[in-house]
Amino acid sequence: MTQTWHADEETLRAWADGSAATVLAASLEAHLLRCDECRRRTATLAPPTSGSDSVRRWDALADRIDRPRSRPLLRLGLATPGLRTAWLASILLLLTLPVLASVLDVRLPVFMALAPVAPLAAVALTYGRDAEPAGELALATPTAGLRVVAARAALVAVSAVPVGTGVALLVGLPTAVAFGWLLPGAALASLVALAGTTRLEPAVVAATLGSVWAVAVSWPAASRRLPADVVTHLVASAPAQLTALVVALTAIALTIARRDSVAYRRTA
Amino acid sequence: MTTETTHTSTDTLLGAAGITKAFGPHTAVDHVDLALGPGIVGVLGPNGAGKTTLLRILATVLAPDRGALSLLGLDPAHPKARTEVRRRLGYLPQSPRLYGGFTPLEMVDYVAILKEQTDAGRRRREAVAVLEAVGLGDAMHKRIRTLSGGMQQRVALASALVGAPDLLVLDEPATGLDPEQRIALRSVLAETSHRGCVVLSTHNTAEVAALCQQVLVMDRGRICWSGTPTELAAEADGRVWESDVEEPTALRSWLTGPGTRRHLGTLPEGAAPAVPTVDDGYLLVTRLTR
Repeated sequence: MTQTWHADEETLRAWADGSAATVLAASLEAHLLRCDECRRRTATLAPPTSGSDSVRRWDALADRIDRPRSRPLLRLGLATPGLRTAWLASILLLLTLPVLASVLDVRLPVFMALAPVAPLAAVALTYGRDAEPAGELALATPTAGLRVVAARAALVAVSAVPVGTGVALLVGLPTAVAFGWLLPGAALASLVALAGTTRLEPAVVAATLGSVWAVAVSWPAASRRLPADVVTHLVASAPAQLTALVVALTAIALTIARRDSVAYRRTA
Repeated sequence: MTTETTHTSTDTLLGAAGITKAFGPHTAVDHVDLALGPGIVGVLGPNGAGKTTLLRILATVLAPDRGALSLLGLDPAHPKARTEVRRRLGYLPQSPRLYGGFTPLEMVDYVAILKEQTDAGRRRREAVAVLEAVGLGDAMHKRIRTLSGGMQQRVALASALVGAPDLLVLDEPATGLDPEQRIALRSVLAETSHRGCVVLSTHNTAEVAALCQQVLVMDRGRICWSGTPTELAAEADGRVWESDVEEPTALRSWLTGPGTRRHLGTLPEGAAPAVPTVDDGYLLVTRLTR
């Protein structure tokens, strides 16, 4: 939007020294938030004495202009292109997968083979070299290590879970299948997080785990040795889900126990 | 020549006993002992002497293989104590590699989030203050990738300074700064040194002379000398002279101007000793320990 109107000096001065009427002050303040030119002119007026009303007003205004627009969790989780790619890729995969699965004939194995890979890939990408906006500097801060990784994983989970299950239910996949990928996905992602505490490269572990999972789930159907849906229903069955839950909890517990090495590991 | 400075245990902000770090067969830091109080400490040494590894250990981003460390009275080997140290720590890595899509204000604010500052208004005010202190007041809304190398270095420095840390670990903070900015850096660091400890590494002996109350000279992983800049210069007292010819008996000779040479070593008969500088002392110390 192009700014055409500017406040005159008298009005600006009245605002700056606190003598402007409340309504005028409020509307001028709204204008100053948008108008560089009037801010610059206000700044060049006679310097206000410290502690005066106008200093307080000027500080409050500067606060509102400069205050970063997003919340801390979003800034931790989505600051860099690497992090945004991780988040977007997992959301897109979970958005398109159920639709793709319902259009294609081999719908269930494809969905069950690929949906759990989304959280796993997202966690692996947050460990990437370029994921951290502040680079090595971030390692010397109290939040370094597992806290930052966990915040980023939580952000992916919070948005990916409703999208993945919601779209799956919407296109008419069975409820057991729409929810069945969650625990295997959590188990695989937790194993990648655990790899982050060792000397193994999380991206390599993620690629290996993801491929093994995808092949194991889709191969019996692809080779026509078993009916297409048997493996999917097996994954959605109570014993398999319980196993996934145990794996996820164990991996998370071990990751927390080994959290020290998250911050130290990547710097040697 | 001493390897330790005397401070009472109450004002030791940074203590180390026998810290060692090896990368494979290469020992980067070899049994280093330190006892540092408030003030600015300069770490000098040739490339590969282990300065960066020592600073990364002091900044808690690298764990030593052996030895005990005490930072601000806490042992960073314990996770809780390490987090506590990091709350009061500012660190400038050798190559900061900051994300270019942020503005300086966003970057400093982001680092303040990592340093657990939850009040957005206070974060902003502090970020603006440190950016102004490093001379980036006019550039705080530009993208970092559009800034010059020296300005990017100062964004990283401002990120290290945010949160008023009691312990500042700076790996070559003056790299990429012009003389005027170096002078500004001095006053910023002097402020922190009143209440806390600043450890900085540098190649620049003139900077050490101007800035530091104490100097550590590192060579091949060890601290081979420590003392004040004046003491370091005094090491070369009566062992430095100038002439316009080569001196085969000198430990070290170099050109200082057209046709003028400066020499280090045993003064030949009849030669007049020159006034020693920190540079002379440093060159002599590193040469003698080899």
